Amino acid sequence: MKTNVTRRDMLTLGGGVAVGSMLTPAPWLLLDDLAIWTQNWKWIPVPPKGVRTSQKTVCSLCPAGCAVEAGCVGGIPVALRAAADGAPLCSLGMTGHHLAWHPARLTAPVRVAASGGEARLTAVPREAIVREVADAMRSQGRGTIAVLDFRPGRGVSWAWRNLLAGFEGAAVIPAPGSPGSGLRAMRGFAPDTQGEWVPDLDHATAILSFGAPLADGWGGARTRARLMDGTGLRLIQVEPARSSTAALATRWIPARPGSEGAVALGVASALASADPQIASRCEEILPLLERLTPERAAEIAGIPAESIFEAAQMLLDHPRSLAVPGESFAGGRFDPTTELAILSLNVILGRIGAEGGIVTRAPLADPVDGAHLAPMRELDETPDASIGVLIVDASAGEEPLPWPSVARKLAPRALAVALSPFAAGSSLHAGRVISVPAYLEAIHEVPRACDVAMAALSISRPLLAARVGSADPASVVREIAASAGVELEGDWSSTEELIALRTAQIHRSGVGRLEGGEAGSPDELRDAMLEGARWTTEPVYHQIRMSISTEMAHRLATIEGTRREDLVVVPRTSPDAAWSAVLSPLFTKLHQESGLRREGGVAVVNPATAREKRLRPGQKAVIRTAQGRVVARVEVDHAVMPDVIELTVGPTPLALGQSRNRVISNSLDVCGSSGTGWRCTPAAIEEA
Amino acid sequence: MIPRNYLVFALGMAAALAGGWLAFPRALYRTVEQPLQFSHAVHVGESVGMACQDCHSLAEDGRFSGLPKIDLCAPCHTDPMGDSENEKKLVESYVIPNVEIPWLVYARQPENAYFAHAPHLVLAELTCEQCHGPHGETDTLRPLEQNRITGYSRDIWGRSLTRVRNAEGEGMKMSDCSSCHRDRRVRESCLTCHK
Repeated sequence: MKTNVTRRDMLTLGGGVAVGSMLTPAPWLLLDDLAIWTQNWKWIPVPPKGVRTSQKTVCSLCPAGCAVEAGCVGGIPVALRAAADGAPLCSLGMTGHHLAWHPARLTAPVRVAASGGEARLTAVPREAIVREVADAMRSQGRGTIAVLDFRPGRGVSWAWRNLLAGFEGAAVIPAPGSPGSGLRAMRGFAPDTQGEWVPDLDHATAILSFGAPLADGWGGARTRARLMDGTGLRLIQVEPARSSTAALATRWIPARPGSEGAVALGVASALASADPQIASRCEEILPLLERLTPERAAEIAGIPAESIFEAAQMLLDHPRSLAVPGESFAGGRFDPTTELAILSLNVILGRIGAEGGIVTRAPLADPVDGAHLAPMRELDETPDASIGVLIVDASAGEEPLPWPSVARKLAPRALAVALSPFAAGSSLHAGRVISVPAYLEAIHEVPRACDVAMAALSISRPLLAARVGSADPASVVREIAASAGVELEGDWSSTEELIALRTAQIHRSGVGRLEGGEAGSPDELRDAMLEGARWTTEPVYHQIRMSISTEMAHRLATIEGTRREDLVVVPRTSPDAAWSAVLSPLFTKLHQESGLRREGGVAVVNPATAREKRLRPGQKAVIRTAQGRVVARVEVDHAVMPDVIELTVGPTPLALGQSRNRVISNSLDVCGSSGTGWRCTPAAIEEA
Repeated sequence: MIPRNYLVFALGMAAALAGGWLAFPRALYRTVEQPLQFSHAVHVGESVGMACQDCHSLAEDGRFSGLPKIDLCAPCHTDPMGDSENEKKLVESYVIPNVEIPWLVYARQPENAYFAHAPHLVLAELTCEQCHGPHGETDTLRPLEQNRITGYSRDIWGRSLTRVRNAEGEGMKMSDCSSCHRDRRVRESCLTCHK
């Protein structure tokens, strides 16, 4: 019998083969094996195996400076965990030893050229970049000189100030969103005060917090522990989203973003009505407080007036209470007027300099006494289009910062140079990048940020050899100085020597104490700190009477006219994702697979907002602001209040791919329009 | 009569099933003989009386020392003690020239996984056999079935290709670790094994 094989037969046979294959282990086993095969490509770094040793150091990835015990094999750290007596490590700290091998790691200085939203990198000699910077500094033809310091308070920070001291108008700009930076607004009340303004949270029994992420480490581990413990600390949290701090607070006040200043003045109004002594301390703003009653403030903030009365009553009932403006991990500081309104509460309560109030702490000793230093200047105090030479020091890490807020300060043809271990974050915006050692590859100082009352300094000692092609930041300062013909003060040439000078100064001063060690000499102090001991000072209690000036009263009066925006975008990220331009692939995998934290590029809205804007979970939406547009995936959550878009800017599952493609912009860049922060931005959203 | 289409479809399905269940496993794994035959039964038996940890001991830091070095064999096998061909090969090819035996490891894990024997043996009090099977009773070393794609042993996946009815201790994939931890209510996290 003759049988013709038709095309239909072939397709039917193929269908049978396909269905049959699915009923065998072959496709599933192949999938698994191919996945494992991709882990064994020859260019993938292989962790060493062998005898395991243990080394102590300090995590320098954020200002908390947690003590770390590193498990090492063959002298290379393969696992990080908290030292026995230290705080538990966050996920960034636990995976920090991967960063030195991150695909975005730079091992040579590069010139950056933007092309179609991506950056193209070309290797250049470091000497050429140094010469270019020095020439631009000498001529000053392009504008003033500034250093954007992401980790102020280090010895290298001092070196930058010493370098810029000889240049007119030059200044160091501290990172605008670091913890406690909002307290710098206290300088408006007492410009001549020595030391740094800090909240004495450890001794406070009641805190009115405006968005301070106290449960996520802001304000130190002790405050967090007291909050978790649930006894002895009353906390009222004013925040638009139900954050982990809001969940642990005694009361959560979900005020509309941008209305925090009105809430603060509403509380002040209730305080002035309840206590004549308080009213006498705020005479300059009494007419304003009579107009901006708790009821009016509640209307602006979209909350019940009882919440404002309750907050005022808490502050009155607790002699050791304070109000504090907190920085959001992605959103940074409040605008200066809101900070002024919040800090005014402490002034009218007489809580300045008092235990459990707003106090000062002594600054860390400089490496060299009495050196000439350039001033520190806030980013929002810097005139637009004024900076001709900008050096971005991201050598010890960096935090979320929308680049447009920096770019608006640059003069036309400005030269921007970054010091960073990675081709990511700010360094992709700078025209040139000098590669520096990554975490664990070099000695780092870790000064505690201004969110705790005790000044503290730790030293992170290196556990890995620095890569060839990366330069010590302090030696770069020296090279620029030599090329620009500037004489620097002190006998030092490296970060290690700056640290030695500083520890000697600390030892000589006799101020403060060493936690977890003893030191009879400067060398012993440095050695103890290299082993993980921390030097700290106690806060200074010296109650000061302050008053609200007429100029401040005029600024506060603008809060009365706070307009309710139809829709605002509020940037968010998790605390551990906020401290580094790059994250370990394992970290991003955890975010991607665990669902514990939202990845970047997600817009979270309230169900009511989703209905109104016709948005569905999972779909793409376009968010438009005055700065631009961004496409994000929609999620719907009751924890976000109506008319608010919570835009996550944290790690993304594509972080590896993005860093390889070097995408310049990120979702944070659409935030901020007024030039005074990017915490809350009017926006529109629609289906993509 | 069965329609022709059905027959052709069934033919294709049967071919795929035969290929997937019979030919594919043979093609996926290649068989590699151990460099030397070794009788665990003789060494662990009454005549010699050794225990597992005499050769496979824990290092001081809790890490497993793994396979014994030739130094451990040499004191007893400087000269052949019997007339076995394998012992003769041991003495001549490895002990006298002091060369390590390139054993093929059935339980070798990927480089990104760290496994510490100490907590499992000391804290959990697991026996060697629970994961490695009755290896100590064998008279010969079976050949290693090496996956042609990944390079790892078939013991990692388990004998059963479906992994539906794996016996306890069979299979050493991440899911096997997880399920054992779950069964014993032992905490686990990604970073415990993946550093």
